[in-house]
Amino acid sequence: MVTTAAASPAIACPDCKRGRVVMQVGAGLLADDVAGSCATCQRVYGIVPLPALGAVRAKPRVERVVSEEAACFFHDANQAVSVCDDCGRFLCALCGIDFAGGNLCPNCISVRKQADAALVKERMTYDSLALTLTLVPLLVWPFTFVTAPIALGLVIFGWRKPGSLLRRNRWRFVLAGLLAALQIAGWVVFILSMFKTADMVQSLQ
Amino acid sequence: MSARASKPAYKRISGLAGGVATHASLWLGDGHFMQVRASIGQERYQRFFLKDIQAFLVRPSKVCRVWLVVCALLALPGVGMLAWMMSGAGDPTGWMIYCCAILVLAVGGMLGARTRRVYVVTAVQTTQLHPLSRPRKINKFLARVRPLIEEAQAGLNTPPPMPSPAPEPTDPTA
Repeated sequence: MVTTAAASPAIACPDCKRGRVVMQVGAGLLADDVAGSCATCQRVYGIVPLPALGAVRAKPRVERVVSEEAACFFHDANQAVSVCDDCGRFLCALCGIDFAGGNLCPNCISVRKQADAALVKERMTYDSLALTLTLVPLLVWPFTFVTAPIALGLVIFGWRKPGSLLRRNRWRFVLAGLLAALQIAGWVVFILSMFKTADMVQSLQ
Repeated sequence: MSARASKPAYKRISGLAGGVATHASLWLGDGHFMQVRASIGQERYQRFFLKDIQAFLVRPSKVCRVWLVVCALLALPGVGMLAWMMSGAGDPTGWMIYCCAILVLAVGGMLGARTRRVYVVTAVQTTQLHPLSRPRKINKFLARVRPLIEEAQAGLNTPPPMPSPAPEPTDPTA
């Protein structure tokens, strides 16, 4: 089997991180892929190539500022060629990025990533946390004295917070709230009954 | 608008994979698919835009083989003790239960353990897709996602690069 490094684009090897996976003639590991191997670690891969692998990206052409022309907000020496759709800053060809259907500067992309649900990187799932805190301590039930109030607090605190991107209902919150309330009620009844028993013993003595 | 109303719509494209406390799944959204790694109280999202995906890499995993070796090592003393007990040294019931438990673990591992690793390649990163662990799952995922990727990349007008045939060997002595 002869490798064809010059004919096909190579992909960085995900295992050794040093070599390049080069496509080879022959079938790969799945039905409709081609074989490839890392030139450094010799690991064999099946490759499913897609059109973007062969596409050549157009490099942004940056022009220098001449006389009174508008300059990029981030690069004084570069000529401005566009305006950020969010903040209105002048941008050069390097800084204007097509993002979420608009032309944005890096700062606005960062702001949008924090605010936009479609771009958020992680979320706290208070519902799962509260449900776990009500169910798992049941295995060693005295722990519920501490965990039930915490779980109820999480239900109240997390109810209005943005939750999972995948779940569209709140049954975990409701169930966790009910279980936590039941556990707290159980402890209240238990403690009251203990006081009652102590009073009865004292009255008998 | 409330936070719930602004949630983007996602459809699950691959089932859960992982342990008791953490698991991963794949979801298809508008113009992208997303790998979700969830633990108790937190979800982490990795998005891969269909127009950016250059290739998928698939390679065999040794997890299943290692699991079988571990099971075989665990079974060895059990089988030895079982043979000794059955020769009249004592009651073999306990060791039979032990051997059956190991067998169940081995079969469960063979059916569920990872046999493949899949990576998604874009221009800036190569990331493992954790839920894709068996050939059937991978083929199902590719059958669903590949047409969407090719549709998203239709504007590129470049066919997927394929390896060219091997050149004819030349005789150095000639």
